[in-house]
Amino acid sequence: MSSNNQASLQIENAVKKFSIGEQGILTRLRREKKRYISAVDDVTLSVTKGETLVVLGESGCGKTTLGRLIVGLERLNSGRISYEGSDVKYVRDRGAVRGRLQMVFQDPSSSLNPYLSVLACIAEPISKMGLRKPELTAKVSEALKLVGMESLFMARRTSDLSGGQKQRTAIARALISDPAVIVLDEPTSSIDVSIQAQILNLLVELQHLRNLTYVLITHDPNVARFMADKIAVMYLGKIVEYGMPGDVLKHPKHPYTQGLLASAPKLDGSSPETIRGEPPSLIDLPKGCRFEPRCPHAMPKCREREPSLISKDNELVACYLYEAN
Amino acid sequence: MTGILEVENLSVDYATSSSTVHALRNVSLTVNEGEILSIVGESGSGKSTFALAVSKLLPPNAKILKGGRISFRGNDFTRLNKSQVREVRGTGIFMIFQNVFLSLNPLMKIKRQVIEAINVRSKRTSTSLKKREMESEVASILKSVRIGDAEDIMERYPHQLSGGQNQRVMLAMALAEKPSLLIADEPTTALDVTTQAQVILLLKEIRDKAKMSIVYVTHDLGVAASISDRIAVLYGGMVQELGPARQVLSDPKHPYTLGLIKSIPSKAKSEGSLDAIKGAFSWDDVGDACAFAARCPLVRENCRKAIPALNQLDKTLIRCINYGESYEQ
Amino acid sequence: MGTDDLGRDIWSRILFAAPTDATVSLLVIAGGILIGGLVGYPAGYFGKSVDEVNMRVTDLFLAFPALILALAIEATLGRDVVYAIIALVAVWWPSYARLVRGEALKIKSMKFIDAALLSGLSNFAIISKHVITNSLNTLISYATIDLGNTILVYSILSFLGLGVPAPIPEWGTMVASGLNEFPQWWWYSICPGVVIAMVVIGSALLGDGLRDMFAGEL
Repeated sequence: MSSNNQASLQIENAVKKFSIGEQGILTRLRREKKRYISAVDDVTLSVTKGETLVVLGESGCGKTTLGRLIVGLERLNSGRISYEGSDVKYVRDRGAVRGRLQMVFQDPSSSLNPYLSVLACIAEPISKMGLRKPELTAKVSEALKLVGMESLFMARRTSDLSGGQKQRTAIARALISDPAVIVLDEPTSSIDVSIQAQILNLLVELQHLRNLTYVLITHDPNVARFMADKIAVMYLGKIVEYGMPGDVLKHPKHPYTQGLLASAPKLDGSSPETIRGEPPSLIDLPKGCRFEPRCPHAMPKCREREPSLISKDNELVACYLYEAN
Repeated sequence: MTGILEVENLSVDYATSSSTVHALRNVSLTVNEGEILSIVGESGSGKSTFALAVSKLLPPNAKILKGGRISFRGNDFTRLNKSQVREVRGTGIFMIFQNVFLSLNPLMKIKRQVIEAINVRSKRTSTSLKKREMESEVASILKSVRIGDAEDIMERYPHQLSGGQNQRVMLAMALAEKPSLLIADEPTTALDVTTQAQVILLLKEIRDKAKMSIVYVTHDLGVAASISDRIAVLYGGMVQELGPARQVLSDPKHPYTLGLIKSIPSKAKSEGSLDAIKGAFSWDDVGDACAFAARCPLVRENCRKAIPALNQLDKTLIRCINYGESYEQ
Repeated sequence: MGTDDLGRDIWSRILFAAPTDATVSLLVIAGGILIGGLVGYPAGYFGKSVDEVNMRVTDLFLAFPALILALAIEATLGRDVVYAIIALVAVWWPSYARLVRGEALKIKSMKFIDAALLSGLSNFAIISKHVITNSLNTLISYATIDLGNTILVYSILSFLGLGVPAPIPEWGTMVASGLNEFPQWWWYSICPGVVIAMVVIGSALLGDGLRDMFAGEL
C-alpha cells in the first residue's frame, strides 16, 4: 500500500509481540529464551481522513491489539503508526498527544466506572485542562446532546443506565476532546440488536458532522457492510484481504474471507457453511500460509512460504491463487 | 398431536429488593417432537426466564404464578420437588448454556463427564457398558461432534479447550444422554462466527439423527433463521409472534419483528440510515397495555388501553390489534 | 451484675471499657488499611517487580503468628496502649495488602482504566479515582468483620497482661482478673467474655449484611 498524502492515519509494518509463559526470577536468571506470539504481525494500512476503515476478523486475529496500538494503549515492537505525520506515542510516554485519538470499547459496562456519575465519566478526557466546573458542565451537556441524550443524565450513576445509554455515554466521552480519529472496538456487540441500529446511525451522523476518521473493529459482516468505506480482513495477525466493501463482501477473494462470509447466518434460512478445523494457536504458527491447514484450495507451495499481499482487481489479497505465474 | 413440551399460561415473577419484576406473562407454547423452536428476544423479553423455567432452574427469588402449567411428555412438572425433577431430567431434558463453564465441571476430565452422561442414559434404559466399551463409546461420541483428536481431548480438562470445543463437548453429552428435549440458551453467542456455524450444523444433525426436539433461545434472528422450524418472538415477557420460520422471516407481521429484521444492516451507509426501532425497552412498559406501544410505528390509541390478544393469521399467531382487534381478558 | 472483688460495679466497667476497645480496634484497622493499601494497591496495579517486592515483604510479615509478634514488640517497647496498637497493626496489614492487591488486579483489566489512560490521567490519579473506589465495597465488608477480630485479639493481649494497665477497664483484663474468683463468682469473668463474643459476632453479621447490600447495588 503506497503512502497516501491525504491519509490521516498511517500504519506501517506494525508488529506487536506478547511474551507467553511465566517469567519468574528463576527463569530470568537462567536466561531462558522468552517465547512470543505476534498478535499483530507486519500490518500496513492507511486510512483517509473522514473515512471508516473496518477491520474484520474473529477472536485471536489481532484486531483488538491493532486498535489499541493505533491509540497508543500498546507499545509497538517495530514499525510505525502516525497520525498526520506525527508518530503515535505510547500513552505513558512523554509528549503523547492527548485527545486526538480516542477509543470506544466493546462492553460499556466495563468501560465506564460504575461508581462515577455520567458527568464525571464524560468529563475525564478534558479533566486536566483546568476548566472550571460551569465550563466543564457545559461541554459535557453539549457532548450528551450530540449522542442524543438529555442533560438530566449527567447526575446519574453510570450503573443506572441501560446498555444503549451506556454506550452513548462512552461515545460522548470519546467525542469531548474533539478527536480526529476514533477506534471503535466492536461497539455494538454487547447491546441489543434494536439499539445497535440506533448506535450505528448515530456513528455515521457524527462522522459527517465532525469529519471523523473511524477504525471500526468487528466480526459482523453486516456491520462491516453498513459502516465501511474500506475493509481489511485479518487472520492470525495478518491482513489477508483489503478493498472496498462492494468487492470484499460481494466477491471475496481470499479463501478465509469466503469461508467467514459463508458461515455468517443469513435471514433466508440457508444453512451456514463451515470452515473445517479449528483456528491454530498463535504459538505454533505454520511456516507457510497461516490459513493453509483449513483451506479448501491449499496447494503445496502454500506450505512453504507465506504469501504477501498482491494487487488484484482493485483489491489486495495474500493468496497464491491470485499470483500471476 | 401432543407435543413433547407443552407450556400453558406460564407467568414468572422475580422478587427483587425494590419491586416485583414480571419477567414472563401468560406464555403458551408447544414444542413438537423432532422440532426446533427458536425463542427470539432482547433484554427484558423473558426468553432466558422461559428457558430456566422449563428446565426447572429458576433462581430462588423467582415465582411461577398460579394457573401456569409446564408438561413434559404429558406429565405436569410445574410444581415438582427436587427429587421428582431429577427423575424427569433423567428421562429426557438437557440444557446447554451460553457460558459453558456453568455446565461443565472444571475439575473433571472430559472423559469422565461424558461417561456421566452415558450413565444417565444407561440408568434410564437399564443397559450398562463395561469399562473398555465405555471408553470407545466416549471416543465415538466425541468424534460424532467433529472433535478431532478425541483420544487426546478425552483426557483434558475444560479450561484447556476453546469455547467452541467445550460447546461441542456439551453437545456430545447431549448426544450421549439422548434426551428428547434439548434446551439451548444462547449457546453460540460467545463463539466466533465460524465456530458458531459448526455448532449450528451439529445441532441440526443431532436433531435429525436422534429425533431430538430443541428449544433454541437467542437474540440473533440470523441464527434463528438458519436453525428453526418455528420461531417465537418475545417482547415484554409475552409472545408477540409465533409461526413457521419461513413465514415469520419473509412476511413478518408484528411491528416488532419487522423492526428487528430491519435493524440488521443489509445495505451500505451511503444508501441511507438504518430503519432503527426508536426508543428502548423499559420495565415501565410492562403493564396493562401493549408493551411495544411506546416504540411502535403503527401505534394506535387502543394499543395503550389493554393488552392485545393472540390472533391466528394463516399459520402464524400474532399479538397486535392491527391484525385483529381483540384483547386479553 | 454486682460488684467485683474491689467493689467496682461490673456493668459500668464493661460500658466504660467499650470506648477503649472500640478506639483500639478502629485504629488497628485504619492502620492496617493504610499500610496494606500502600503496599497492596501498587503491587496489583503496577505488577512485575513492584508486585514481587511488595508481596515478598507481605509474606514475611504474614509468616509471623499474630500474638507472638505482638508479644515480642510489646516486650521490647514496653507495656502501653500505643505499643499494643503498633504491634497489632504490624500483624494486621498483610491481609489487607493481599485483599487490596487482588482487587487492584481485577480492576486493572477493566476498560475504564484504559479510558483513563487515554485521558492522560497519572497513575496516582487512576489509582485514587478508579481503583480505590471500585475496591471500597469489598474492603469495607471485610474491615467490618475484621473489627470483631481486632477486639478479640486485643482482649487476648489484655488478658495476658499486655494491654492497658489497671485500673483502666478493659474487657480482657476484666476476664483475667475475674479468674481469681472463679468459679464461685463466675460472672466476673463470664460477663465481659460474653460481651466480647457478642461484639465479635455482631460485627461479623454487620459485615455480612453490608456485603449483601453492596452486592445488590451493582
